[in-house]
Amino acid sequence: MFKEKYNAVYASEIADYLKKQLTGDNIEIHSFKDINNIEDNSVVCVLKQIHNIETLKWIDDNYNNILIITDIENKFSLIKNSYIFTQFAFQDFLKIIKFFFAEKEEIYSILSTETINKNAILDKNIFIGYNVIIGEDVIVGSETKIMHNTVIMGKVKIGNNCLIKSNTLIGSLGFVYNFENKNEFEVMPQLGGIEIKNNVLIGSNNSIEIGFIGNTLLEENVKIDDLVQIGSNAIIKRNTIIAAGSVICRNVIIGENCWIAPKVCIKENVLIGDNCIIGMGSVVINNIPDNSVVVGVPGKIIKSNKNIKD
Amino acid sequence: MNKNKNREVISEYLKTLIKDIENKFGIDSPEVLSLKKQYYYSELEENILEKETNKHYEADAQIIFKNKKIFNIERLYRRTLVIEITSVCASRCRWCLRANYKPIIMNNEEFDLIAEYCGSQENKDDLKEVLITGGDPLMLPDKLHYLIEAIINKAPNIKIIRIGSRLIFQDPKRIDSKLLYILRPRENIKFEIGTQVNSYLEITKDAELALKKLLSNNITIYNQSVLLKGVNDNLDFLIELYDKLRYLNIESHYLFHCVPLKGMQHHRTSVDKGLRLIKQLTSRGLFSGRSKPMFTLMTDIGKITLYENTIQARKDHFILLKSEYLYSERCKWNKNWKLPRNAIVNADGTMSVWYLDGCDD
Repeated sequence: MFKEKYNAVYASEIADYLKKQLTGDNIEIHSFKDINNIEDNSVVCVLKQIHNIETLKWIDDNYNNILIITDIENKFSLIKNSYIFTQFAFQDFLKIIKFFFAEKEEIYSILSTETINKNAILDKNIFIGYNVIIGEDVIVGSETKIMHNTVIMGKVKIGNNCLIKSNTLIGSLGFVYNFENKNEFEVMPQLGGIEIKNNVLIGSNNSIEIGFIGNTLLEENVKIDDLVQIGSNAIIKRNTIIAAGSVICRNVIIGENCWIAPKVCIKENVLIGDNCIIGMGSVVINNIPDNSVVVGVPGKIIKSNKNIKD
Repeated sequence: MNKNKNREVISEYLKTLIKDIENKFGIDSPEVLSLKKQYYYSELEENILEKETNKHYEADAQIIFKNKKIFNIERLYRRTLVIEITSVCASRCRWCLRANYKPIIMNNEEFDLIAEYCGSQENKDDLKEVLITGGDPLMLPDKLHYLIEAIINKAPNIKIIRIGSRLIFQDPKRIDSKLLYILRPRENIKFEIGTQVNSYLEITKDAELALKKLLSNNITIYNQSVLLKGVNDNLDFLIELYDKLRYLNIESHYLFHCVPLKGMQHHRTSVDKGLRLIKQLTSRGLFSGRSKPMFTLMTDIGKITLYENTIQARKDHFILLKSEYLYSERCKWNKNWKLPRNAIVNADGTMSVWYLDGCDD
């Protein structure tokens, strides 16, 4: 959670921070701005994929003292403004904002008191938004933030310093039936829970199902974007990132340091090794060994023994 | 920065304000000019007189403390140390005293050193007050916070922290809750803000709101205006300005004569015109004496307020002004201080200084 911070710096300080070359005058920078809403004395980001050199000329014609962070190769000259060339312009722009113009917002409070079960264990320095429902077997670690409208039910243990965004359901009952009798689908028992370790991010509108026996497990530093479904007894290992809109079925195990792109579907009981990348929209139905890159429907391995540094 | 020092820095707030006033009074009205002349570049700045200088005075203290040199501090007077923490401002005044200074932003280690220096054995008895200025210190809340905490912790002899800022009138939205928290009322230390309004049109609703927030924090706010040609060098504008300040509970402190720096000739009235205006202002019964400012000249040896017989002589556009500053004391407070070329030490030990007069059209 960040909030905007008033500050002012010189362009040279920003260049020093990025360890990049500043071209142009050492101007004063008072804020950061979006390219559609530029003000004088601000830092803006111009990306070659979206904009072009005309954009830079237009900025130079209309504004004063703008510091442009850009990945457009430096074959242009600015008169009234300065620029810093960097390969990763957008990331560096965000780094500048974080370092110079934003600060962490530390809010610790519990806004929904009536809907939290008295037996739930809540550690210190937590934030719980409005309309959050927390059941009696829930444990929440310190510094964790649970945003509005989230529901946490069942045997759920959440670690320290996690963030759970709005409208998420943790402790959903799994979609587990015995389909043998066609006339009456039989509900099977689910007696396990969910364990979420430290520093985990869970996006909004997620649904995480409890385990049949044992826990559905999200290990340290797992980051899950919005609109993700995670099935019963799934295990997501450390440092793995799951982008928006993915479906992880029951009993799936995903290894460490994996990157699951948006809209991926992973079939039940599939095992994905460490350091894998699953491309956008893939449907994974077979086990995937470590260090693989998988794309397509059904998912095919297009690269094995991927170097971790790639 | 030096390459392009004529470049304007004008906040979005001031641009909008100037547009509003243009719509209300007309594009070339004196009301609009009283704001535009303060911030917009004019070709007249290229007219440089030979006698004009880059800096108004040399007071850089060049102190070496704990084997480290302390930069960006000045000392002219016994009680006060001046700390320039940054050269950044929300908008740049065209007559800025420090326009020709290097761009700087100080770091936390330097702040620690300054705070220790303030509380050190040699300064404990004399130094009672620091003036944090720049630039505009309120532009950098984090740095200001660090410096204030350092001074409070390491120099308990400091009783008043003064901050020089025009932020209230240049970008009032920056006076936010964080800044108010930094400047919250505390035991044993008092905050004062020295601001600068030159035209009554700068006192807008937004600025009033920001002022009220600061005043409700028990901060004393005082105003030091500069007499500028075409901005406030007429009686009606001055009366309007000082009346408004009084209603807002802001002390009127100095009315400065514009300093003779390079390219500022077109801003400067004559000293006589200033004297005439201040006489009319204070002695015609047009408004309350409670809000009278002191007409003061910023000379190379410090501020000199004009009283009877302060002006000793006139020669080729220069005026000889007698101060009550003692040469011996000045050297004691700032060991690196050297008598400027245009100053003389009188028989009684006081100093007099030659000051370049401005001219009226």
